[in-house]
Amino acid sequence: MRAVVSEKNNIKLPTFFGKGLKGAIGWIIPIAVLVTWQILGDLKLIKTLIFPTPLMIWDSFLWLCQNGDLLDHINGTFFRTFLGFFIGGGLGLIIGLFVGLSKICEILLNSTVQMIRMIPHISVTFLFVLWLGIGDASKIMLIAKGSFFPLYIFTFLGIRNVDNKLFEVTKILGYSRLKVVTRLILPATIPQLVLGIRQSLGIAWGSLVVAEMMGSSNGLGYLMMDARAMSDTATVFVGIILFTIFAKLTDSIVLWIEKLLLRWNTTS
Amino acid sequence: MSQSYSGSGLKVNKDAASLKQLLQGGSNWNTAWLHFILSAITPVFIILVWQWAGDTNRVSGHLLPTPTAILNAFIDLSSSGVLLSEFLVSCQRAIIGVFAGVFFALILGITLGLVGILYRLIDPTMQLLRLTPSLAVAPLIILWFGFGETSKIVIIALGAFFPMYLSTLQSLREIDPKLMEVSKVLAFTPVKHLTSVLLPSAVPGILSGFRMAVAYGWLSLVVAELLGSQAGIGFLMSHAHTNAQPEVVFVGVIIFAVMGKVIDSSIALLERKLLKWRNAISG
Repeated sequence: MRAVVSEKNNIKLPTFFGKGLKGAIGWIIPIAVLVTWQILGDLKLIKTLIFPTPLMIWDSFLWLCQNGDLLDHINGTFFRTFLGFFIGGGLGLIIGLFVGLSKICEILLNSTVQMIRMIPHISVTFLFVLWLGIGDASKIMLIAKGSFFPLYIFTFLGIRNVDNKLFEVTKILGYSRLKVVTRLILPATIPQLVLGIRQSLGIAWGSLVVAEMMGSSNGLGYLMMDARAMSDTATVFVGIILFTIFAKLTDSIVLWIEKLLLRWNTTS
Repeated sequence: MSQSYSGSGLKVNKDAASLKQLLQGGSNWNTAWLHFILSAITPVFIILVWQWAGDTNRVSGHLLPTPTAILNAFIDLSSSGVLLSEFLVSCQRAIIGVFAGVFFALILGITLGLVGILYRLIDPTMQLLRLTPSLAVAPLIILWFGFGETSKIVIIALGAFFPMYLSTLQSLREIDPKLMEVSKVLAFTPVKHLTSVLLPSAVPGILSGFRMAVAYGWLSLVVAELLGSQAGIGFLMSHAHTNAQPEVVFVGVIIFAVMGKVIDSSIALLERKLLKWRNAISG
């Protein structure tokens, strides 16, 4: 239920700085804030140690790019996020398919999965560190655990919400069980599946930040935690902005793929 | 299908019939009972294997404490009162943080929902800020507010803020135009329009936002406490982790899970109670 409700906010994509004058008005505040921030910082009215000015953040970004560290950290971060996401999301998809397609699987597995879902995924960090050490494995597992549940739930819901009339049509046309799955259930589940993938990716990014902050030797989260220890606020800002961009970028790519896959769906 | 559940005689036929009925979606006392038993199979099996593997030393107790060891740790911690005091610290943090976040989100959401010009001015900025993963801001908040109580409350408040803000704003801006027309036809004063049309129709959305805000706040509490604290369930867990007491870590995980579920269910209950009038209309 919670997952479904949260989707309501996602479906309506931010009508962000739309076109025309109505959209332009939305730019006023961000620009005003940035300019005031810069001026206040230049006049030493705010402590740049705590609030580095936008130009200082930009400089620190350029510096990180030049010494090549940034690429290294980004590599580590991407590797963990996507491996974790593919393991967790893939398992969620497969188990979701089984549970959705067979009533007996649902009865046996669903309530157990729902029980485990209640565990806040960050709180098992210590256990994963204990079992798998502080290397990459524990981080990937944490991300996998986080990405498992949204995909599981949305696959399951998607299959169960397939229009019954369509099922009757396949019965009349004498489809085999396999054909029903590949021709009806999977295509009809795609919209829900995409919602699940987007939520899973969001959770994967969130858990990655935490996983890397709990102890690692590279990655964006490590970069941020390290910068925090050195009171290098500008680098922390760079990390936050990069995370935002990556999260938004992956989300947009998934949406773009959905559009490509759902070209047949004229109603949406 | 009935083969796999065969036992003997009449009983089997009855069970098989119930199972068939269960799979076809029917429900009566018998199928409900069967449903319960079948769903309990997996967890009971896991717990039994887990206990057996621990007892026969197939799995080291340092890595995976047995269910009974976890239960003993829970009993020890509760009888010494440690658990309760840490739990209260966590709850206090969560309550202050969530209420701070929800309070500001409500004020901002209602203001922007009612005043069109402010909406166009401020909402794009908020949508931009919303994209940042809330957990990624934690290092910055620690840098600004230190490791003390303030930074934890701010992290929790931030987690609770955006879901609440988004649903408040959305539910105010997407009110059924028919209701607006009715209010115009009846010539409601602006105050009456607000109190008897706008706010009541926004309540369902605001409540579901509140439910999400609490869930996100609870999750942020876990993160805030694990990142460094001197008290609370998260502290109990990190302390146990450094002292190699995995059973206490498990107790912490279970408490976080159970509390999350209890809070969510009680808000869902509240939602149903408060929205009784709505069912009466649509039904």
